[in-house]
Amino acid sequence: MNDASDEDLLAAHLQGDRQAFGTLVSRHERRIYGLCLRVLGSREDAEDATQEAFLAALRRAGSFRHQAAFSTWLFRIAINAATDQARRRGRARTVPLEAGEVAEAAPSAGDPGGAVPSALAVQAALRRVPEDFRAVLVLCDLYGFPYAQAAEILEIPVGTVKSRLFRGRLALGEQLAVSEGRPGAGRRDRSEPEVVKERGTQAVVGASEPAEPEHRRNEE
Amino acid sequence: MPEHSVHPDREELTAWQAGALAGPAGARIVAHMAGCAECAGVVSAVERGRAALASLEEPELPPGLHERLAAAIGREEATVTPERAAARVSGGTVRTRRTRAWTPRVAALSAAAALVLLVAGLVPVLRHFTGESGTRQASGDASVSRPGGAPSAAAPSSAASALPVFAAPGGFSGRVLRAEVADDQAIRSAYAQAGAGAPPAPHASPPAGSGSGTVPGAQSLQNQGKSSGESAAYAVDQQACLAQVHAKAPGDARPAFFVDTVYRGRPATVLVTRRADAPDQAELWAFPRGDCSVAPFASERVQIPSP
Repeated sequence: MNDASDEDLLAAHLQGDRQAFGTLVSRHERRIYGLCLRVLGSREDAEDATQEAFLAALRRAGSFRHQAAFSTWLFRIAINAATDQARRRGRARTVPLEAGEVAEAAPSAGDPGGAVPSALAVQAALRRVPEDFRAVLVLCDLYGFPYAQAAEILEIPVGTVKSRLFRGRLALGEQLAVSEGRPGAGRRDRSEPEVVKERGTQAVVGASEPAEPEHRRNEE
Repeated sequence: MPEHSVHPDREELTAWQAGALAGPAGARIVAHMAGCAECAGVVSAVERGRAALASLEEPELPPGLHERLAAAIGREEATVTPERAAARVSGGTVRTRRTRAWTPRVAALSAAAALVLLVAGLVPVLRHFTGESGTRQASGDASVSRPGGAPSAAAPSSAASALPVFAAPGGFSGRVLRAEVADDQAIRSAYAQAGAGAPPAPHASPPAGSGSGTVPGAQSLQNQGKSSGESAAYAVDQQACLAQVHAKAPGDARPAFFVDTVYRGRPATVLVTRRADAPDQAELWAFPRGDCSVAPFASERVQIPSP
């Protein structure tokens, strides 16, 4: 069973093989969790979204069409689960995210050399990138999907993938520059959320909900 | 920067950064950037972003997540009902499932699957069978007589001590709950009431009298005979269940109703609560069927939009 393709395993599952779907989960859980973590920025949300993604995949197994690769199909479901989770989280949250939550996602200390930003700083900066861009960044630059497959996963045109990738990298680079205190780093699109520096850390925290930066400003 | 130098567009910059723009076009960009701080800044920020992402490593799977996923998948697979399975399985796949072997085990598996489908097909997923216990006879329409959204006829104090009980012989899970809250008025109504007011007092005294705080098993599940063969009466001490849950989630859980069901393959009494601090979250607490003298053997949290 271990050399069966993902598509074969899904077919076996649909034909009643009780092990097949579990094998698929074992194969893909780490990637799907990683995807959700990078998109959502919090471990708790990522775990919830990962579970929802696999449950959704289980429920929709019968609707899988073989025109697409299994990974395309699964990643689309996972992106949707992460988006839903972000929406729920945005609606339910009454308290802004604290630095601790970001630190949990990347407990290592900041990189003392400063040449490469720490995972903490990158993850935090990624959260400040608009959600649509973030999904493309994660798919293309983290997971290495070609433009065409990212387009298929996100169900958007290839040109849109390229455009979002460029603008997403730009936004991320600028967020990092701001968090590193580089001069001349303040330039940014008006549509992008404002960056607020967290006290005592180099992390830029916050979520993409527009209400939150305002809340934080009031605190300062 | 020379005024006549046109900024390269995004595609040109991308291509140039990827090393795919050689020759005069590439040279033009190099020349432009030498004199254009804005474009140089864009290119440098884009590269910084790309490199930062490339430096991120794939995170480890958190401890326990694999087990959590396996449990959730197991629950989900245990609660598949034929209507829902049919709704999501194409006709061709269904035919394939019945006729074509995949493994040598397929005959046994198919027979087992067919039995599960047959059994599940006999009974609705959730069948309401009693309202407030102790004060009413079990009745198939106790909740139907209570219009959805309208205030309940029952006083809050009595509601606190006797929650509605539903039966789900085909199995129950967070997903089923979510679907039923969306689809079933009685469930939705009972669920909404848990989120509406103040949390019922966990230590409210059960009303005096015989059967106080317990739910007599109902015999109104006409369809249950063939599926499980036993529909024996059972009673559950609701206060004990509430106390067990409050011990696990102090002050956080508002009880909604009970479900007499099968949870992850075990006969179970499931208490559904809503979280006071997160209106969109419900929790399921699965006790051995009829027995709240022990802690729940499983619990599950599920996101449900407020009805």
